[in-house]
Amino acid sequence: MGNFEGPAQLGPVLNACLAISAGLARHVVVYRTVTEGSARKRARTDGARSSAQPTGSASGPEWITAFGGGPAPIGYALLARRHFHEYGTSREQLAQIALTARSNAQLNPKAVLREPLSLAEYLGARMIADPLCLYDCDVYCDGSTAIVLSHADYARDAPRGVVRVEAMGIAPPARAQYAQHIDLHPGERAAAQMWARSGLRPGDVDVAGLYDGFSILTMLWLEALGFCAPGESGPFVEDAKRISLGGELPINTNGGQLSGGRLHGLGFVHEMCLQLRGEAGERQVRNARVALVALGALPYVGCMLLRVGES
Amino acid sequence: MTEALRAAHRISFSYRRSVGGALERFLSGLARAEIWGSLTKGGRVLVPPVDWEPETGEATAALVRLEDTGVVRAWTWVDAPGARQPLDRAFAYALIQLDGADSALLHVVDAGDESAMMTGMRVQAQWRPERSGSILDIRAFVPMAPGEDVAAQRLPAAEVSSARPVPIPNGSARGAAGSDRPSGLLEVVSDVDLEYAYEPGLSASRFFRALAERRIAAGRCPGCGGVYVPPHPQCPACGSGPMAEVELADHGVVTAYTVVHLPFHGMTSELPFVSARIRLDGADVPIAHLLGEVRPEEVHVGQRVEAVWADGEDLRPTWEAIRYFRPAGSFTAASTRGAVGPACDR
Repeated sequence: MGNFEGPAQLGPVLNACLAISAGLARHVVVYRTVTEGSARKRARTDGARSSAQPTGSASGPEWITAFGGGPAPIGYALLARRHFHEYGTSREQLAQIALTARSNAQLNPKAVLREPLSLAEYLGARMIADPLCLYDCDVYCDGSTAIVLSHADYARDAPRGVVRVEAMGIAPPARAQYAQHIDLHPGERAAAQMWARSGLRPGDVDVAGLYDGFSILTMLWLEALGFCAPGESGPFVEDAKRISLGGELPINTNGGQLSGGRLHGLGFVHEMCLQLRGEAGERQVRNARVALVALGALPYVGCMLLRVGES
Repeated sequence: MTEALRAAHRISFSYRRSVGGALERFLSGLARAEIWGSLTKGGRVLVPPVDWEPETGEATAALVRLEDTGVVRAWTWVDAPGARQPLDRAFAYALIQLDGADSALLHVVDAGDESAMMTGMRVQAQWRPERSGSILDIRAFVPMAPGEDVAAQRLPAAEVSSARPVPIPNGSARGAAGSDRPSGLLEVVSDVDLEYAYEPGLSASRFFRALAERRIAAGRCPGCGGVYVPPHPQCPACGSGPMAEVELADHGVVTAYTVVHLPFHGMTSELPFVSARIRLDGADVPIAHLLGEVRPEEVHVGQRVEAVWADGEDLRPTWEAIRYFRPAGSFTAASTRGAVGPACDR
């Protein structure tokens, strides 16, 4: 899994690619299994308090934990607040990430939250750490996903459609966690590295899975990856048609982690493979040839381009 | 040179995890002074039992109960046991192949003296009177005198390792246990007790000591001039160092904030509380702190704030020497747009 130095949740995928290309392995299974849903339910039954882990945030934990900077929602709320302040981003704009995810989840039988969600309900939802409300935070679940990575030579023998790893970007932010600065473009360097390793461009991407542990992170990825200019993700998503199924850039077609359930990023890899193999059912993006997965959050990030492989 | 600060910490908690399947049955068997193994489809008996065969990944066929006697296949002597080891006198760690099993179980042999140990010796489990479903319910294995070796008397030596207890299909071990727990929810509790010392290093120690004097001792990078609170040994942006100490006033401007409405584990503040990033005047990076003496709806980016210091015994060399920041109406608001990192940041 991700750590403070590596390419976030893409770490095992990167390791698999490197092992295969170095000849250490021919096939590698990367999987993620979580039972967070039932564990939390049990904790509640036992009368125990459900506790958030003090996980990664914008700077070294020893300088922020004492002041409520430890739990993830607080750190990301500060990012959102700064984005709102710098660029005039609004809650109505941020809401489109959550609402789009929920619309997509309704087409995914495996999604956790499938009831329709309206803008009014979003705006009326209780605050967790403002401006992030309940629907800006992803949902825990019980779930499992596995991705098999194989040497390219195997493609012609593969029983199902083949997806090719086109390029990866793993460069961490310049100043991961040294100081308490607020980095609104943590994925920029990783994105630049990924694009430098491919002839593809943002306009070539047919479908994307952009990490949404918190909705603001999806917005930051849209900017870092060059789908819009820095600071312009608000206007970019304002008309949600653009990021919805049938739009210019459908994102988080499985419902993301906001509505689909939290598989710590690897759920997006799974979904993008389904899309490229034409196996995404009702939520299939027509003629999807190129997909993008961008995972993680400050201070660790990773992104990956996938395309339909020749078999 | 001043010495670095050092703070002693201790973390104690009970780590609880649930086990299921064969492991649950093994542990609940131990509580009844019984040892259970699993029978593979290939006819091997493995102890401790497993749900899937290690070689093939196939489900195992059944659980079987084993004798609590066996043969030492390998051992190593521990002359001076440590505090965390199972016995408080010299003992042997040993791989013990129980009668009827095809694999060996790691446990300890309480033989008194190393000269009593021998590969191939026969041993028997010595059970604790109080048992809790733990591998330590067997206090130790002890050497068997030839006269008390019932299994060896009952079976010719050559047949001992191939003797098969009567198989009991998976699922009925629970009935035998009389356990009313739902499957898969046997809880194993491990008590964790960890002592450690936190040493923040020289540069942070100077910073903490200054806080106890109500001073904020920041650092200025000799290369790019960036001012950091707290100071770093080297500049995080350009790598130059060491930083020169520069004292900052205890007021600044809010660069970001969030009003927290959800209780988090370990938090002591009353809800809602305001967590903020505050850039002290003259600094290039913000610090994280709490805002107080302010209604959450009145907080805004760009707001001027000042430190409220602790008093008396609470004024110690810790970050909490500043209790919180509060609005400072007497200062004029400055523009904060773009002012969240040093010039060399990006």
